[in-house]
Amino acid sequence: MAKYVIKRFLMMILVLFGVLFVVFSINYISPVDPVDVIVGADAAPEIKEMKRQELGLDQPYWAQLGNYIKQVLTGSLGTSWNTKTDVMNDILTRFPTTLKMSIMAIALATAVGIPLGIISAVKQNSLLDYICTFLALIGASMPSFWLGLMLIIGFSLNLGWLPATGVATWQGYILPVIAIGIYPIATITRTTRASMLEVIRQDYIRTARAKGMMEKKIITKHALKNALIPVITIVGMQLGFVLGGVMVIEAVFNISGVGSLLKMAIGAKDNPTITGCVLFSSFAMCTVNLLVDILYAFIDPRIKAQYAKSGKKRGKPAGQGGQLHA
Amino acid sequence: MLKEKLKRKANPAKELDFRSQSQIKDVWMRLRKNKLAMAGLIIVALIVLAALFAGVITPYDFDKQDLRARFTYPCLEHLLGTDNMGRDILTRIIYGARTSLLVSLVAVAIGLIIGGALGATVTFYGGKLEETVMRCLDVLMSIPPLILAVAISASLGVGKFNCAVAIGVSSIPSFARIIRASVLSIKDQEYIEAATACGVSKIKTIFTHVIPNSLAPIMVQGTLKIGDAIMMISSLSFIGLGVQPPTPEWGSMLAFGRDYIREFWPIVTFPGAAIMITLIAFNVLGDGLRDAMDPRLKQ
Amino acid sequence: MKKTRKPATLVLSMLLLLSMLLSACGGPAAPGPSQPVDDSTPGSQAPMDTTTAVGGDFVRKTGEGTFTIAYDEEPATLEPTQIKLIAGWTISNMVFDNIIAMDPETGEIYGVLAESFEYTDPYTLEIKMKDNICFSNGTKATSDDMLFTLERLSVSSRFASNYACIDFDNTTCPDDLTLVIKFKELYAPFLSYLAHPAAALESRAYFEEVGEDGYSRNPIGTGAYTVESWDAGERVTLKRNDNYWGEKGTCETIIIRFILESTTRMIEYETGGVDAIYNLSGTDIDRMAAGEISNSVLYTKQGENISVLEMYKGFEPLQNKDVRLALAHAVDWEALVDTVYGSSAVLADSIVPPDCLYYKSTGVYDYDPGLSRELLAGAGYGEPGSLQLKTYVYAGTEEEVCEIIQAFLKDVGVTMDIEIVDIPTMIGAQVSGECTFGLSNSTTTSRDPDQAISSSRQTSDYGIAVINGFDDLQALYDAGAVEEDPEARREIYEQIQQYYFDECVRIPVRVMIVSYAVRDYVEGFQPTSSGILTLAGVNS
Repeated sequence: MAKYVIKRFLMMILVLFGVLFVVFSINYISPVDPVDVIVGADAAPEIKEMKRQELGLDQPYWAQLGNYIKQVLTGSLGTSWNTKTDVMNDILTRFPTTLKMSIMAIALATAVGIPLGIISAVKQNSLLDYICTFLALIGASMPSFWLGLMLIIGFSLNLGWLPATGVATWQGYILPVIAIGIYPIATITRTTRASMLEVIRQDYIRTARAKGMMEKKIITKHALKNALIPVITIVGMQLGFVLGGVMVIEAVFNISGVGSLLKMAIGAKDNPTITGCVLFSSFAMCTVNLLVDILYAFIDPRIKAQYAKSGKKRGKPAGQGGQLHA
Repeated sequence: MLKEKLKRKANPAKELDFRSQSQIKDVWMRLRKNKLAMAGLIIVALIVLAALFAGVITPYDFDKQDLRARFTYPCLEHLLGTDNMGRDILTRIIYGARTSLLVSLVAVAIGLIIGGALGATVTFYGGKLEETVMRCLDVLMSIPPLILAVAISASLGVGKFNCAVAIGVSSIPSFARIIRASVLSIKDQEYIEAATACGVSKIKTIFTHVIPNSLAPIMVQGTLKIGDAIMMISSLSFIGLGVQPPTPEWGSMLAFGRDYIREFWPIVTFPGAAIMITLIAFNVLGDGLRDAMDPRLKQ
Repeated sequence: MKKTRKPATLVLSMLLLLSMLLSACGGPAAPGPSQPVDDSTPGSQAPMDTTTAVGGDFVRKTGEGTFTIAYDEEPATLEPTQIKLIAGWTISNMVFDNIIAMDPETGEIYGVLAESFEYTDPYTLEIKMKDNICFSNGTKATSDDMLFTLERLSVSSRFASNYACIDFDNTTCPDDLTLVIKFKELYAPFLSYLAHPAAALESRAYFEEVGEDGYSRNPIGTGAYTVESWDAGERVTLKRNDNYWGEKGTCETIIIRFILESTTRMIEYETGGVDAIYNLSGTDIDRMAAGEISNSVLYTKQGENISVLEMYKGFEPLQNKDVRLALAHAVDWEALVDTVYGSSAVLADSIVPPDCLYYKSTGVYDYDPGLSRELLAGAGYGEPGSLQLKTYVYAGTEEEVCEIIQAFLKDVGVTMDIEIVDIPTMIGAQVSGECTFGLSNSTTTSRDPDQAISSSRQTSDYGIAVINGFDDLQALYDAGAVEEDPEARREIYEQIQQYYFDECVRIPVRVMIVSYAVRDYVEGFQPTSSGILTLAGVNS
């Protein structure tokens, strides 16, 4: 198992370098001259040229990429072109807020989504099922920023219960977390329902029923355990969505996080900050995926067995997420 | 049925083709029984028709401003009212459907063609190539999709096509993975082996046998992805990376309406509802298609 | 599958219900801002400086002894010479002291840190500093720090051109408190610029110790407050400097928060999260003026931020005056300003803001599409689509202005593409000439007209030059910059403004109304028309 974890970890590092390469290239193909951004397009050509040489922007693509990678390896993400501050520092001061919100949103989604999904599946085709399905459908279809705006107006302005902006107090987290969490809630509900339905139809459940076991016990003891395995993958996958969603929601609620930093950086064409933010969100996502995979390997006896045997096949079977998304 | 027979006569040799024909028919029969999915299909069809015939349906221009008739509440003249520049909201929503559908279709096409072709080819060849390409896709996949789209959009600049590229690229890996899974499942089937045995080239096998037979999950994924793409376009627009004015787009309508949200509810409610209804329609249709294609999932 | 009928109808009905519900909570009983555009001209005679106070029973939620104000932007640096944003100067204003300052009412210049200042000859300015002034880290401020401040200003991206007149080689510090500035050339508005909040005394020793980055995040000044913390993206917290040489601050803590969206800023104010906000939206000004928000005072001031439509160099059709006039007459400027800004701006009737020295109302171009079409036809652009303009704009309010202009121009057969871009790209396009026609706005924080028109002052090859080809205008610019006599200067600047209007080189669009909403328990709040506040006297 240790071998598996180490291998996955090394893989993650490799992937992060891939991400770095991708983001660097995306920024590189931009038609805007970085020197125009740094010293201003209206600066004198001599000044521009000086800056270009100073920052090595006159070098070919590979050299620039190499320099950047060297820099990252020394633990620096460079200096912002806009605020001239250290990008790593800028991100680290904002990242906790974003991470906290993301984790809360996923926790909320799990806490609400799984029970809803189970109820839906157990009481299939009942009114309760329809209501849950309907709510999940709405949740999956509602733009989070729209919901955020509506929540501010409803709960901050009209009712005055919760703060409209910022996360200075814990109450400040409530509305943004709901707004971000709505989509993962929907996805997790749908996945849980589908997975549960599939498990319920399995032979061993039928056997348990035939043996005259109590329905409640069947659900909690046999069905649930097996049905939740794919749900864990989905929960992990939601982080990608949440990290993206946070960006928009931070703008709506005026929260200072990585998302709003990224938005600001885009408005100022601040490439070092853009790259840093993307890299960081990928890092967060990879870490969670790694944890999920490890967890997965521990709880899913099939994978465990597979690993014990060959020690070669990695992670979850491909395409599983998509197929179970129901 | 008659048509079916004619088809069969026309291509007596293509047994496989016939098979997929009847499969589509089966799927359609099953889909028709699913009322919810049909409702979704009808709504999608209506939205598509509205987008296609926008110019015929509405008497207004989407960019025709009437600064003297701003913030009109819904009335007979303006069914959904007018916005902050005195433009008819319904007209803009209808034209907005055109933008959203066009951009999302192009985006899904980009994702599907690149992702699908890549996924099918490398999986079929297998080995080192497959491993390398899938790892590369892992890289794309480990960037949160919206953030990847934002980064691409920010680099390329605002515009319909750039927006489609941004969203399309961010959906490549998921398409590749879906098709990979389905190719893996048919790779070892007898008819593929037969084709290989007959000396059919690998490329040809991929296009004539592998891809057509893994279309089902792709179609489902495509339908669902259109919904995702519409959501992403509106998110991009909301943060100012969408399409250029005066092109109406639901997300940017919301972004601009935000300043008036407290005084004039129609300006944010209707575009928001338009996004929601469209997404619901695509989602139920996608779910329905999945159920119809995979009868195993049904009770 | 029979049962699916239920969810289908259920979904649709519930969907409708939900959207109604959500919007219902979004729509308070307030009537929409759906008044038709009235015919009275706003422009110059619109209401300017107003104060509206409303009572009520609002319960304070912020702590006493702390004053919190929300701005609409976050500065990138707190080093005054490098700041570019109003919020930044409001902060630096409290942390730093200026050498000299200008009375906002009379325009008179007086010494702050300067004991005295005088021109001993036209090319020499002698400044004597007050003794015993210390930076908040305890070191004594000297004339060398004044020199350092000037050096920093001369490399500031915003003010470099205003300090290019200094001959640094011959500028000396004869003693610890005296600075003798030598000028290479005459520059009349120099004292106005030196009175600007950007010209605040910085410490050379501290700067050399911490570097530019350190100074910009943790600045040290001689001011009444010190920076306690800067939570990036969120707030700057200032603490009272109890060793301040002058009159000490009233509040112990002043917090400047950055809330970018006007809606959220207003909501934060209404819900009691902040004691005051800067820059309200037009509709919020209306709501406050109508007394809808309790325990609150609304201040509005004729602002110094003006936006104009520039016609950029290198685009041949715009060299033709008739074409420029055609564009000016194609748009209903009044309706445009009313639509986009409502009560938060007025129609501009000159290229410099009314608050500026030597302002002259030159008039507004009438909305006359007929005339516009005629002029275009005369210039050879009668065919719809034959004149194509391109503008670059940063996402936000100005995008709306461009969209409206686009629709008006379409009416007279002129197409205008709008590219929404980030700020550096926009400036790049203006420099390269890809942007042919576009909005530009400036805040004349120094009240000197030289600053108001300065964006077109850079006439070199790489600057954003719009006045290329107007040699007589260039001559006026140069004359205005060196003229010392106020009356003669007035005449020159009035001529410039008239020239701009007659030749239609720039189309004035709007002047912002600066607005503040302040809770009524706050005492001593003094609104300014620049948005740069001095909050040391505020009691909260």
